[in-house]
Amino acid sequence: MGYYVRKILGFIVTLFLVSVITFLVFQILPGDPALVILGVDADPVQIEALQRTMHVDEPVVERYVSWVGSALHGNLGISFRYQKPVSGIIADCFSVTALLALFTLVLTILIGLPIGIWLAKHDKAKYIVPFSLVSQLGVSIPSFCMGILLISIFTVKLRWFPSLGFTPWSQNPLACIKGLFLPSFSLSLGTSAVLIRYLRVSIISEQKLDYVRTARSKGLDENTVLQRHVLRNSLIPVITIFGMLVADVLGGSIIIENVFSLPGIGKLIATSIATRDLPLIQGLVMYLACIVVVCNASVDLLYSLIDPRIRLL
Amino acid sequence: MKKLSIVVCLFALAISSITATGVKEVKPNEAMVPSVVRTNIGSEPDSLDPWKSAATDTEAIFHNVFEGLMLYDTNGKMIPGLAESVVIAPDGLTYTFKLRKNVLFHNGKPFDSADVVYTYNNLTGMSGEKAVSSKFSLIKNINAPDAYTFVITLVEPSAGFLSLTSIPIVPEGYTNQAEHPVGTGPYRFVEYTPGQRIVLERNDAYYDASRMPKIKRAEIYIMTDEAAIVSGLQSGQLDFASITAEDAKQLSSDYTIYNAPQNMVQIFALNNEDPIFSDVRVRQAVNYALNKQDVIDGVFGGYATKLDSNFSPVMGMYYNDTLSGYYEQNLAKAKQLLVEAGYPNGFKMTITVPSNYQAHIDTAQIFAQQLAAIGIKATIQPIEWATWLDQVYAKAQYQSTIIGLTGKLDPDSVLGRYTTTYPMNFFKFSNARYDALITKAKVETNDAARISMYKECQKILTENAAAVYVCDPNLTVAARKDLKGYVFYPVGFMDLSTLYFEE
Repeated sequence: MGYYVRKILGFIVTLFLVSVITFLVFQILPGDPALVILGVDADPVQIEALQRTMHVDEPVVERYVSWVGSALHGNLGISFRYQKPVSGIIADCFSVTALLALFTLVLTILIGLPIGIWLAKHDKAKYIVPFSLVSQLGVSIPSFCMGILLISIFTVKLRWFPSLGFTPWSQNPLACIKGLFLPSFSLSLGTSAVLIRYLRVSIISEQKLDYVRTARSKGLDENTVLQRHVLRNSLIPVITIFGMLVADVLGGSIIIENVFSLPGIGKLIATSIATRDLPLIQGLVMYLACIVVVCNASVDLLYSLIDPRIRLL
Repeated sequence: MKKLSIVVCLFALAISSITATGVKEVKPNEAMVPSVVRTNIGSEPDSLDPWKSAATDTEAIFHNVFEGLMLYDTNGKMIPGLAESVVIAPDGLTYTFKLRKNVLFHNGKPFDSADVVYTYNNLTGMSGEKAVSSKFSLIKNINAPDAYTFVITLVEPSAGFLSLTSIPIVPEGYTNQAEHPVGTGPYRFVEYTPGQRIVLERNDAYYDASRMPKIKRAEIYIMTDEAAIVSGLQSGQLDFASITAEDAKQLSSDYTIYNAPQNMVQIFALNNEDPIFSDVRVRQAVNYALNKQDVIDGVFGGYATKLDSNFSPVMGMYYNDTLSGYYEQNLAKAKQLLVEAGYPNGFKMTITVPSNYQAHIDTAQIFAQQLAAIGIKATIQPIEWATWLDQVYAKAQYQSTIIGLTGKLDPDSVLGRYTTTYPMNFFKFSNARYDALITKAKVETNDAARISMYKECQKILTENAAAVYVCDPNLTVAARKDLKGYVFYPVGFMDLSTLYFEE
């Protein structure tokens, strides 16, 4: 039980610290949200009216305490920029980013898993060298470059996929998949390259262990050894990487979402910081902290599923 | 292993089937005229509620949804809108508007004088609430003798007042504008998805058949990434979009390029209260040291109009054309002025530029180089937009900066920025004669006299080198070849009602 208590306590302390730090940083940062929203053409009366709705003139401590108070009741406040509840805005963007993350995850598995396994099985220089070259490229090309390249091929030239906007799954699943394919594909090229490398190394080092020799000496054929014994054990380091990858995508791919005009968390983060939308930023920071914690917890959980010897207690 | 490869195959199959149907969908059908026009907007709307919105980009879209008593035409002339006529009393104080009958708001409510009274009560603060705008403080009294007559009485005559009446009329008692705007315009609001798009649809009940839109639906995507806009056009996902001069060259063979001055003034502002720039000779020296044509060619690809005061020629009759070429590049003169001002060896200065405007950063680089020729060492300091607004615009804590200010129909809204009492006079320009002229011009009802006052104001700005007036960068729009009818206005307004697809 101690494990859970420690984890939850740590989580609460993290959230608290993160919220205090964000709040303080935004007191130091120059910039008046009302001015940013209305711009240089605003009537001074309009700016004042907007400032009144933001309560920026109240003392910092007071504002922070009242924010914590309502946040504890599940109310993250009203966004300066959108004049809507923060939780609703984040939920809307999350639905986009979650789908993007899911697609990226699926593509990463579909690309990375077979290649990683195959490379481990065929551990020869003539296969490894070209693949490590390609995967080096996959890791080092920034996903937005890949995004722009993919757009110019698949959107501009071939016109297979759209490159702007997002159609919700509930409205049209097909259009939704089409819209998310290119962004998730450009993200998954990098992530699957990482996956392949870890998986290959992990499988190869597992294959040298005693239990594999035992399995082989029982007369099991190579594929069975790989699938029943080696793969399962090799997945432990891979799952760790996976947790990080998913947390990364769910945390918002600021550039990819901008390149493909997707209204996701990444785009929201960029806008909220640029407009000094403090309530929204606070909400997003809470969201990001939660995502990281949830992903880490899921990884722990997966460990115990894959290897029953690992206990969470 | 087998299972995996089956999954891979199935996935590949799924993707290919999607793309197979996709080709039909995306490819423009030659036989059919599109019923949707798709374009972009460079920033998120500041507010859908017209009373809470100030951004030019937002106005550009929502002027299709909202209408005022008066509208403006492509020359910036005021024409009847929701008022079919207006009579101004000889004393210049009383405006009597005859309102249009048979106008419906987008929510089905019939329009009459009660809506106008409601709107103006809120604008002026006569409703008991705080005034929505400071521009309407010169209204003394409003009155609706009957359902289709509306009378405004002013405190003092104001020649610019009529241009203010293009402000949207909203339905009485409707308070949900920020969520779902309701106006009387040729397009009605359908939806706004933050970060994604705004959708408008034709108002089939629109009263003016001559302005009835030909295209049924408009989708406006919120896009900030330049490359994304260009690929949006190239892939046929956008029908028209405003682009940079650079991109226009690339697209010119496949798209119709519309190009016109946009009534913007790109300014190299010198803080008039800065210890160095408080000396008019130094400001003049800077003006003489620069060659604006280099900026026009180098930054805007030649698509810009050289300026000499805080007015673009788009302002028509108000534009003072006698100032043309007032500061031609003259290094000898610039150096001499610096010597007179006590800087024979030049000085060091900082140009603070908003980092989100590449054009201004590029301009700063050209200017820094040109200033070096007279011994001025300029350092460019790019800062983030929010910081720029706070430090430079609101607090005037800067030495020099480069910014573009959009034009307005009313010359007072443009030149008024330089008056000593204007809260956001970040130029820190202060000139008693100028202030007096602006105040006088406001109430002058004789057009000729008023125009000459504004021309005089421009002359004062130029002679005192209040800033360096660089150019009016053109608005460049690329449209697919079969999309016709794009028109320019002297203010930011993207008129969707005139657009049509050629059959």
